[in-house]
Amino acid sequence: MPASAAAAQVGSTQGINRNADEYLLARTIHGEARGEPYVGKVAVGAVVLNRTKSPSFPNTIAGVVYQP
Amino acid sequence: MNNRRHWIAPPTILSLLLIGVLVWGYREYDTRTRYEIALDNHYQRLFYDVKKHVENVQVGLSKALVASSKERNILLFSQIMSDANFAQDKLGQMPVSHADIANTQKFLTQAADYSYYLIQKHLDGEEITPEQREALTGLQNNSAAFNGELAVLNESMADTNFVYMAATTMSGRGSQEGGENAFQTSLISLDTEVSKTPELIYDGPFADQMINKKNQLD
Repeated sequence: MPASAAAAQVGSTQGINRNADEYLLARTIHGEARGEPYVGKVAVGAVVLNRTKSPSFPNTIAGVVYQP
Repeated sequence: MNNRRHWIAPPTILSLLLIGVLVWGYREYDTRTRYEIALDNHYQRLFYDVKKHVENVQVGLSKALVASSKERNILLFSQIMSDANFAQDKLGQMPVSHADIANTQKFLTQAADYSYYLIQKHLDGEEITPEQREALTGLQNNSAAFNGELAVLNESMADTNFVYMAATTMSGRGSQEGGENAFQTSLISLDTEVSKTPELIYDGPFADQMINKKNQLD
């Protein structure tokens, strides 16, 4: 029990967040829909997220964005 | 009359050739820029994917350290195995020399292999022993260090002055200047930190006792 308690204290998950994905998505939306109205930018974001959810496209945001 | 015609012809031909060479040169430059962009996109995608997989490994190890039922653990360990294998594979494709990431790749492969070993133990009906818990904690500390370095790199990539990987590695300047790649220097520091972890002894193909086995014929 002491070993697991110590392990639970040391083994935390600090520092894990989705900042990288959000930043990548923000840069993609800016690159694709810079001059468009807000709706256009939302549409680009929706396309990227829907592709990650679909089985026939890559499963990560980076995979979808950098697909050749 | 003949004299005049004869000295017009060579300059005309030469100027046409010059224009042809300039057009060819510009097309080569354009093609090279496209290759650089495509290669750089490839490396960026690999970097983000490595980051995601190592994050999943750390979260999975945290869950495994606090989980209590064997069935949940089997699922968690299979996910850890898959993510660690992907991370190791994609890290190996990045433009870093092997000496700088050898220990990191070893840690990732052993994390995947150790998870497989623990799945086998669970299927045999055994619980996690304290030594295995210690080993899992060590693996999790390593993945936390790796995640820390990757987060710092991600911050530096958001700067506009970040030098992209393809430009430095492919032009040959990077190897001469000792690798000014920010990516490479942070991976080197991570590698030395990972190499200080104790040995992982278990029953699997990539375990430390398999690597250090002496020749049996001697």
